[in-house]
Amino acid sequence: MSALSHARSGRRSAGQMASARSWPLFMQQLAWVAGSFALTIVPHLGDVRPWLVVLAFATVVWRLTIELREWSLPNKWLRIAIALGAMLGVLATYRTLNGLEAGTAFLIVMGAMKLLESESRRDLTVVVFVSYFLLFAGFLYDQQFVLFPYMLLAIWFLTATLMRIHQSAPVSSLEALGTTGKMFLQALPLAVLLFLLFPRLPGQFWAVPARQVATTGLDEEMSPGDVSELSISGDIAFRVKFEGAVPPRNERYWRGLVLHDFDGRTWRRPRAIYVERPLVPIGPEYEYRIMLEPHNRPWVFALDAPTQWPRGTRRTYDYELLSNRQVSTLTTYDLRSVTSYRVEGPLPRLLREADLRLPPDRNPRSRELAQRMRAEASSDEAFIEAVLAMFRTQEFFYTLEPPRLEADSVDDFLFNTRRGFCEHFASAFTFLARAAGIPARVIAGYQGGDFNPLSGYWVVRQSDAHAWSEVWLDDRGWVRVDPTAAVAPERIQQGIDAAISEEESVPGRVFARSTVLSQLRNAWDAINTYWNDNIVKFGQAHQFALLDWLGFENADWRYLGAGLALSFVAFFATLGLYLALRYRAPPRDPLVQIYERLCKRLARHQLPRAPYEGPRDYLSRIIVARPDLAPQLREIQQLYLNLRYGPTPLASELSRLKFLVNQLKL
Amino acid sequence: MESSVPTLITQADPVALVDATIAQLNRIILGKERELRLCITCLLARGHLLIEDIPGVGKTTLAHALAQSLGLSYQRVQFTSDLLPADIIGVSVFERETGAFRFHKGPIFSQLVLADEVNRATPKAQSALLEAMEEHQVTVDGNTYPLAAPFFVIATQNPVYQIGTYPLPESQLDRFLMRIDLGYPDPNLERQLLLGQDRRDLLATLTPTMSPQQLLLLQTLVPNVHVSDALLDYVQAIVRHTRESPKYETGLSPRAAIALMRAAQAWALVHGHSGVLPEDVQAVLPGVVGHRLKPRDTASPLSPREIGEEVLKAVAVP
Repeated sequence: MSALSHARSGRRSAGQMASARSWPLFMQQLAWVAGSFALTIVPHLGDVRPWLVVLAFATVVWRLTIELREWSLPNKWLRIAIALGAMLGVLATYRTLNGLEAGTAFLIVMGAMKLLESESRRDLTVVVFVSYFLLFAGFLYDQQFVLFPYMLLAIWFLTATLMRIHQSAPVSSLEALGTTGKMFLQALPLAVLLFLLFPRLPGQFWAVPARQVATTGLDEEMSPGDVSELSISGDIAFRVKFEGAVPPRNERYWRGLVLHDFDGRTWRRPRAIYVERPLVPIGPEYEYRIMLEPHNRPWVFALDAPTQWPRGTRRTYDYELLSNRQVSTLTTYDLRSVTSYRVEGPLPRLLREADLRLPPDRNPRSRELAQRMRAEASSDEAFIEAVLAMFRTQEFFYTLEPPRLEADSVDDFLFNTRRGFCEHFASAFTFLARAAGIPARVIAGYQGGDFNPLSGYWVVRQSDAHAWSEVWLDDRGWVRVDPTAAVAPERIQQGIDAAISEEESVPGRVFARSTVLSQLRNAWDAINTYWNDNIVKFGQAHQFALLDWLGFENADWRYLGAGLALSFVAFFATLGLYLALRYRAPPRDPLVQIYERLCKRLARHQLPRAPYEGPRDYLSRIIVARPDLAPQLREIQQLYLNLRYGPTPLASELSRLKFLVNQLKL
Repeated sequence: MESSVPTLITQADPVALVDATIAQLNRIILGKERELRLCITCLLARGHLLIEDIPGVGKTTLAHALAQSLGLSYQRVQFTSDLLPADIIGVSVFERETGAFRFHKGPIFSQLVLADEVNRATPKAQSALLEAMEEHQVTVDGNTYPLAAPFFVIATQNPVYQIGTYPLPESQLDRFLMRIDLGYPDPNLERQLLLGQDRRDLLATLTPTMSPQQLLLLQTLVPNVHVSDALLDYVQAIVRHTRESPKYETGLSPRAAIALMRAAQAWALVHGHSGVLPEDVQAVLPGVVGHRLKPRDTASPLSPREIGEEVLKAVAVP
């Protein structure tokens, strides 16, 4: 019999190979596993080397072709050779098998190799587990909201794949997805409970290993064209939330790096460390929180001069804020800053020398110009005014697409091209100031930022990248001078979009011009902010706040554990109650109750009813056994049979039956 | 023959009519009242009956006596291995006078057909009979001929382990509403049998106790016997048990469930119950399910009667 049915199903599958629906079971399962493996590689496309992606997809296609064409698997030695080759390839590419990128690459290779040799349910299960790992590894790279729905979908698909692999009865793909989806929804309350209440360690539980690639944002050095290149990106650099007063736009200079060393073309951060001078605030102190997107560099962007900074960061002598480690995950800093302040002099000698140093044989014309203008000016301030006036009145243009500059970049800019972005102006101005004997330096950072009313955060994007100068005036200390403000005041007042001419394409212009688009962008940003604030950054402090809100003051981790345990008990109790209610016995028929009562009473008098015994047979048997009760029992029998099985049960009969049974004296 | 029976069929009292019939049959077939009742129940439920027993226990006599008592036209077909379908259904013969073929009806066109030793014929002949049973009509040379009404087939079958038999496949066994066996008579009754008149002679003395019209009326009454929800629960519990029990290859089909209910209705009718009782179901259960369930344990298979007992005992009356 079973051999027959096998033969039948075999014929069916051979006859209809053409459509996927009738693929043999293993082929279907393999296709699912291959699909889920591919799904989990997708988030890593940007992170791993292209050859790995090609290898993985080639393996998937190869394995599927083998199954479809009914070829045999590559032999063992070939598989070992390929696997070894791929592993050596990973080792050669990354120089290690440790670390995030190499680990991911290694997992991908392993998954692909396992898929290639899969010929049983167990093999396929291993591939699915590797896929889970790969998927979660994605969170180590990036915790952005946009990944989340994709991961949910992928996990859903992966779990459905597991179900398809381990099905005992035929399950269609839709059924597998449906059941898995239902399981997810059922598990959701527990997942939320675990998320909210599982005790966490303060700070980061594990450190995400630093990555060598993909730094975004400002770099350690600045050449002409660097900032304008960065400005093309609409990516978010950081978000800011002010507690209390918000500085006006033309005060919102976000200091990143302070560049001192100039080689005629490129500004660099110095290796040397100089003595710090005390800083005396003049204006108000702003309190704010910065949520910094990972950029894999140690610096933290802060409003002009930070006066208070959290542990794990430090302020340098030139008011840069540096984190102790690279910022490779989204990080929040609570800071205070002043935008107007005085630095007590005098300037340390070594620093003065550093901030006056110029490459001696470069940019001779500019140097000469500066010396002439200084000679004409009455003071340092007057000189600065004169230079800014030159930018303002002469034919200088602010543009995102500046022409390439010759080796003597300042000369070329000042006397030839006269078209530049903020770094050109800052560079030229600082050069002129130094040439005129005024200590000066270039600051790279961001300027401005837009308020998102939906999230309450100020959003600073890469397109807000900016460079400006600071000069040392003996009676005032370091003074910020922004030559860009002279040539294009709109840049400072309204942002980059207003400052660049219509012909040039500016990121964000399309948003600035369309309220719908800008609102959409704000909404998307608000979602991301919410995600970052409340999900990614959810930690011990949030948990205690939650417990506090629930009325547990001064809670510690024990409260969390107890809360978790209690919630679980409550959850399963609710579930049990629901199931009990759902599957409870239907309300008992009073007639059945009477009959069962009668049976129970008779059973107590050694006259039990066999389960399969019908009421007529049973009661007839009792009548024979208890002739003393025969008349009542006969009436009971007749009433019961008519009520239970007859065509016309009457309510009066029911009450009569009840009466008789109750009156029965055994 | 029919004129001797009162034709006021509207006055038919099922219990009285059947009791009278049984009483008469009891004189011929000794000590088999329960089997006789099942037989008539099967007839009233418009089913067909399969009697499975060794030769010589009175299968043929039973059929003949039943036909006599109910006033039905009766034909007996002895199934042999060389029996052809035409021997059952009939054959078209060319008539010289009219110059046309004329269909000579076969024994199947009787009201009661006894298919004796049905498992000795080839499957081809068997299926000719079983198709006619199912369709209640016969198609020959493109012409369709309806069968008689009422139409009742009693097939007898030798136990299959005998030589020269073609056991009926499950799908064809399913066409029989009931399967019963007669068994050896009680020793005392057998003594009477040995002393008494020849059964063949006794048959001639039988007078009809029921007319075919009355029989047809009773048949129409069967599906109207009340079936309560509680009873449906019981029938469904029985069906569920056979489907879930590991003892059987396959459970009862919906057709078998209908058969069980119909037979129970007929049983309730002839016993004067206004609604079907669990006992009615239990009475017909072995006959209805015995031949439909195939035991999984082939080493020591249950007999059909044992299967009926097992199912009955296994399912509690709700």
